[in-house]
Amino acid sequence: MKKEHVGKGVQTHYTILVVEDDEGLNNLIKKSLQRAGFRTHGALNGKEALGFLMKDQNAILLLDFMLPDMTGKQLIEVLTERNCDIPFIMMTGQGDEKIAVEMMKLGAWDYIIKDANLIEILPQIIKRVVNGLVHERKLKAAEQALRESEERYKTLVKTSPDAVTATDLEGNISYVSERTLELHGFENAKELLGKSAFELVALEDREKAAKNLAKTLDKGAIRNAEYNLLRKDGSNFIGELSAALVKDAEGKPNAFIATTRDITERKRAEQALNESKERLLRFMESATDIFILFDSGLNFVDINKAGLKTWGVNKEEVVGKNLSDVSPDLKETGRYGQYMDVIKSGKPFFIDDTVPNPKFGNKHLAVKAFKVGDGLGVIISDITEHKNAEENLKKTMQELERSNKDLEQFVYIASHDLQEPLRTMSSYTKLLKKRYKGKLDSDADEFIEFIVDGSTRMQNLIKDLLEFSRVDKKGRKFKESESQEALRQAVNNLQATIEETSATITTEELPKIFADDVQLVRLFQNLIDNAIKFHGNVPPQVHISAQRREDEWIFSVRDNGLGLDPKYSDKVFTIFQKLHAGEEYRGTGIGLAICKKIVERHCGRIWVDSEPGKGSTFYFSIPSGAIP
Amino acid sequence: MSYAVNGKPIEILLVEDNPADVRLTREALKEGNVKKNLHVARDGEEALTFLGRKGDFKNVPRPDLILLDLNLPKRNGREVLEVIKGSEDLKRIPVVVLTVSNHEEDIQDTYNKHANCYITKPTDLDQFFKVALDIENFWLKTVSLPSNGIK
Repeated sequence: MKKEHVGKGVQTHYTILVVEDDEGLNNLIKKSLQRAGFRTHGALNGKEALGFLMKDQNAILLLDFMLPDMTGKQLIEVLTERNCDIPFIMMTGQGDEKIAVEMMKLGAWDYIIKDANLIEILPQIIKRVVNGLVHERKLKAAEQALRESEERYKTLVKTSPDAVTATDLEGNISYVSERTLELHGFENAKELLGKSAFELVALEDREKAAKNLAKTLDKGAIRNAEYNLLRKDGSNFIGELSAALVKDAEGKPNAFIATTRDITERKRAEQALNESKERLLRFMESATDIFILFDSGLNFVDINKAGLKTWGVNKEEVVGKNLSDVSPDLKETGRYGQYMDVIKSGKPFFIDDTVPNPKFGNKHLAVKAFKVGDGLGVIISDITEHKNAEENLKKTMQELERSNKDLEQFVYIASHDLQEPLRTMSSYTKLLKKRYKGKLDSDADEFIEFIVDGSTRMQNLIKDLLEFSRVDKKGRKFKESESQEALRQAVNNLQATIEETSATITTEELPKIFADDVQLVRLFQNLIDNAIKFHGNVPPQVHISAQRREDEWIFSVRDNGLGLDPKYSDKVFTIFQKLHAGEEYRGTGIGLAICKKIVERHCGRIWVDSEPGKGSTFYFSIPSGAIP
Repeated sequence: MSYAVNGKPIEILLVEDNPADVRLTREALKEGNVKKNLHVARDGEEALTFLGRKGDFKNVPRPDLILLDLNLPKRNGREVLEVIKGSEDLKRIPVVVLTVSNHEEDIQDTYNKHANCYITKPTDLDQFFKVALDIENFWLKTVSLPSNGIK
């Protein structure tokens, strides 16, 4: 039983190859070993043994030295050549100790003398060899594991994003990883080895570092200690350091290993986040709007100062309470349900509320409710002033509109009704002149002349004023109009003046536009009339053209006349603004004001580009599309 | 020509409320060489009474030409025009609308009511005199008018 047990533990791994040319002995050995629990195989010569080993190398050779085809030594040499490291035990005859020694040098595990005791002691010897082999194999595996583990740690240290540093118990550096060098801005480990690790810590943090070192010695490790660390160039960064105490085989502390990482960025981000939170909080607390946060059941989670002030409560009084407890009327008004709907649907809810306040008049509140996480955020703004201002503005606008209309009506009626008596006056003074010129004295003739002139001018004024007031009041609907045709009519209307002044009117192709065609004629007519009116000594030349610019047409009326000082470029479009002495040039000063009014009615602009002595170009723009 | 055929002066009815305009028209027509009588009605009602030869106007002649202002007291020119052109007796009398208005609507409306022509009163005296002369030349000299009283 004992033998069985001995063999069983190892037999699975090895076949005992008995190489012995004496067949009887070979069998005898095999049987003995089989009894002891070993798996065996027999070979009568070297060739057979090699043949077996080619198939199964998991064997122990029990090798006779003298074989028919080769010596045991030769067999081992063949195996060595073939890189087969097969454990072997030599069997020698008595007196062959010299051979035994030689074979032991070649690596034999043991040798046995073939004597009477051979069969009896063989199993014990084999067992010892097997045990030795097993032990050796375990040792090899352990060594391999250790090597691998060391390799792993080396790789780990090398590739770790954290810097790894080892020091002795005083903190003198004994190892630095590449990352440590990088982190502190060094190029070579020699620069640091042997130096105190405290030199890498900013002055203000060295005391803390010393305390932490003592603590590590005491507790075995510290984690995530923050320091202001130094680079070679003296600059700072924030580092996070974890350290552990390393003990020797006897459990005596002999070193520290520390890992360090740069957390400057993280710190900055944390700080930024904190500042942002702080800012947001300050913003909410300083806001004049009310901010309230409810949970999914409309219980108060938070409320800002403005809210507390409005309700006249402390935060502790409302936080945790339900909205319906704080404002019971909201359930009746339906607002409570509307808020719940926002939580359910996620759709925000906006409403302007009017809250009657007998003391201060109505309060207008703008309420915005929106989902925040599972809960509800509500912002309430007091828009009373805004609303009041809006209403005031509306009223003012209405009043302005009415007064504008009144004014227009007044101008229209005044100019219209003034026409009649004026016509009478003008007619009779002219009749007076016609019938009595030269029949009274020369004074009377002069007086009559002045009356005639005055009444004529007044008549023109009134006529233009009426037309001015009619631009908006009597304007026609806009329709697609040929501006070329409008220009033709305008020139036609001005035929007398054109002939009188020998003016030349030239034009380029003009577009179709959306306009009041009657007013378009008037617009061209006034501009051309104006261009002809202020001509110098040369006959007037007027050129009309149009250019498309984005979504509008820019018309231009260019003349070679007197031109005007740019400082008057806006004034010329003002009603009754005459820039030239009345005696010299006729006109009421309304013509261009009428142009401006017509252009503005067409949603366009009018301007002039001019220089004294270089003529003027009047421009006006008309939208190219239909005007709403 | 009308006045030459029977040697009688042409009878003109001026319907005009403004005395200044009445006088001016009279002065302007004076410049022409046609023999004519100018009758004046100061409002629409008086014009219709004149044409109907009622009351004070029992013995007035039937006018050969009517110069009609549109803005009149009591009954305005449009009503007068409608009555004239709606009457079998009067519709053949040419009506010259002479008014300050140059509104398109007024022009349309009066021609719709069968006015024979529409003239905007010129604001300038010379123009006014010229228009008066034109009226005389055209209506009293050029065209043939229907005989009075013949239906």
